[in-house]
Amino acid sequence: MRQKHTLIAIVAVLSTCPLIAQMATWKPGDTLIYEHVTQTQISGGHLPPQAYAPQPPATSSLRVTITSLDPDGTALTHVVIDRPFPEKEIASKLGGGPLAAARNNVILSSSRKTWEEQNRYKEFDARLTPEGALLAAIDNTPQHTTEGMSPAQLRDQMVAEVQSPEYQAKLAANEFDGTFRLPNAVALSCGKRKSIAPGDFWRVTSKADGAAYDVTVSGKQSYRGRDVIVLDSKSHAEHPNISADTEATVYYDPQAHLIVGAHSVTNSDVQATGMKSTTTSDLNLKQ
Amino acid sequence: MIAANLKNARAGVLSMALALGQQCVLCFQSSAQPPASGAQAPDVAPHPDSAIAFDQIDRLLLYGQSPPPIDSFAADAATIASLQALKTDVPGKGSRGARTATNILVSSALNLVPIAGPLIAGAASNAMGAAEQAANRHAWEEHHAAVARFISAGTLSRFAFSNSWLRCERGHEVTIIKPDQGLTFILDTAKKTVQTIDVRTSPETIEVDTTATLPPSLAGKPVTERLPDATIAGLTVHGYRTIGTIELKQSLGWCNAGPHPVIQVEYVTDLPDPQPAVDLPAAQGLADGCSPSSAASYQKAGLLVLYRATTTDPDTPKSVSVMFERGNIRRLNEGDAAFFSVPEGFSKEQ
Repeated sequence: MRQKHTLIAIVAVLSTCPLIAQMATWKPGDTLIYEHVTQTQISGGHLPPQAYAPQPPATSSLRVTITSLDPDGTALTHVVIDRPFPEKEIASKLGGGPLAAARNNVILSSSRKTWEEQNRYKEFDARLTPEGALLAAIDNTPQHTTEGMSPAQLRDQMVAEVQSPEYQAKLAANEFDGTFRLPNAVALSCGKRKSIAPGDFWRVTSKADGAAYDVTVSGKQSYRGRDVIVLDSKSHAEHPNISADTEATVYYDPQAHLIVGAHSVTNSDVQATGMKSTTTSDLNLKQ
Repeated sequence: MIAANLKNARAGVLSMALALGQQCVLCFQSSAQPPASGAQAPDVAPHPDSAIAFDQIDRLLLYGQSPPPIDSFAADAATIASLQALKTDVPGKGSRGARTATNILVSSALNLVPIAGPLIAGAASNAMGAAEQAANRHAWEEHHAAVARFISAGTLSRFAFSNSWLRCERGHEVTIIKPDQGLTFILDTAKKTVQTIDVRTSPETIEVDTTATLPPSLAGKPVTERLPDATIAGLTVHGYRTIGTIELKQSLGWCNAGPHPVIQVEYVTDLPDPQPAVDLPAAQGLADGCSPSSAASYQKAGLLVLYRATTTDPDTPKSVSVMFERGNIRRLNEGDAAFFSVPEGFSKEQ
């Protein structure tokens, strides 16, 4: 009887070894840095001509610092989003001519100030799960009642709210959530698979929003210095006036349980306005 | 086709889940979405000895409405039967939208109240001209009152369990799940159509949660007192009242972040519950008034609950009660086997 119990205990310990190894990987102060580059091109509809001009890509640096560890293997993290001022892109659009240097300096200085004001407070907490998903804690419910307010009072409250650091942090957390939603879903589903081999196919459904992703393992390769599995994902979203199709490739390190990269292209169609858009997103682990 | 079936099944699961409470969610998740290989899939097989059927009313009581007394199932079922379906302009496409219109309506209504509803109504009316406002305000008020009546009356579902099989009926939708055969049937009794999901031939479906939900915690220790034994539907039940306060770090369901006093009343029979017992943290059970977690007993694990009402922020204008009550409890026998089969005359849904 004792031997049987011992055997059970050994099996139990062995079966949890991968998780323990993963939990031991992180310690407070460890940092992950992702770079996110996104670009949107729109067509159709009835917007001013400048809206259709090619837009420069928007680049962000997402610094994720481990602050503490939960017993279940989840790491609590603090995320800071840094969006460098695109000086070159703006400078290239400024005119030349006499006295241009002084004038352009004023414009650049003003643009930089506005940019920095808009990109303050982009920090919030998130959780890094044992599967490598990065989940931001978001609470989007209105924090103030508007019942009985006049339109002027309502406007004043809205203006005050959107300028607050809390609101800016909430915006950043939502942006982060959107960036990681697809790779998170894929990483979490990988964590629930017994094995992953090229050619495997499964469907992932998101409890949060009902989204469905058809995932195919297309292969294994080295990506940014890591041995990763390459997962292709296709999804379709249908709303009353908007439909969107997304094709993505996620690079996932199954040993370290990390999202190493994700490339996605989303084609959206706003039927009500006739506007279409194509958004390209590239997320890569830099460190 | 399989993918489409799964998609439709998923839509049905989601829309019904909001109105039916967790029990239906658990049952549906067990087979409409086949568990992942190696996943920690919940053990949702009904109790093997329980061949039982009952009806269940789920209610959401707003704006300080008190939960009804126990053993009022028959009267509450009669109220539901007397209500006409609400009219709605819910956007939808084709038959799928029409098929779930009632569910969407109730889901939408639940999403709007009690906090966001007046806010959205206010924002909409502020955006209108003065002349339009009066007429529209009246329409909004009527609509909100109708929605509140509809939600308050609740929804009636019929459940049957036998040999690990489940049958769940709500409105025109019937779901029959046979885990041992890997089969799920979703019937539309109005159109006489059926969708069949065979998990053995469908692609594996894995459900993930991409939200970082912070669980509720307790502020202080809740106190549970025994209530006198009572009778519901002819069965002796044991009553419990728990009073405590939950602390939410972020909004949950119908509750904003912050502390929320809670009163939870549960009456449980000596009959085995066909669904497995749950072991939830006390705070999560008390948070049922914000977002229901389970229909299993929190007081007597493994036994069938006939009444539970969880009131959040009692005695305040923000008070919300989430409750369910059960009636028509009956043992099933061999003659009820047809309950778990697709009736003749049903065609495959396209």
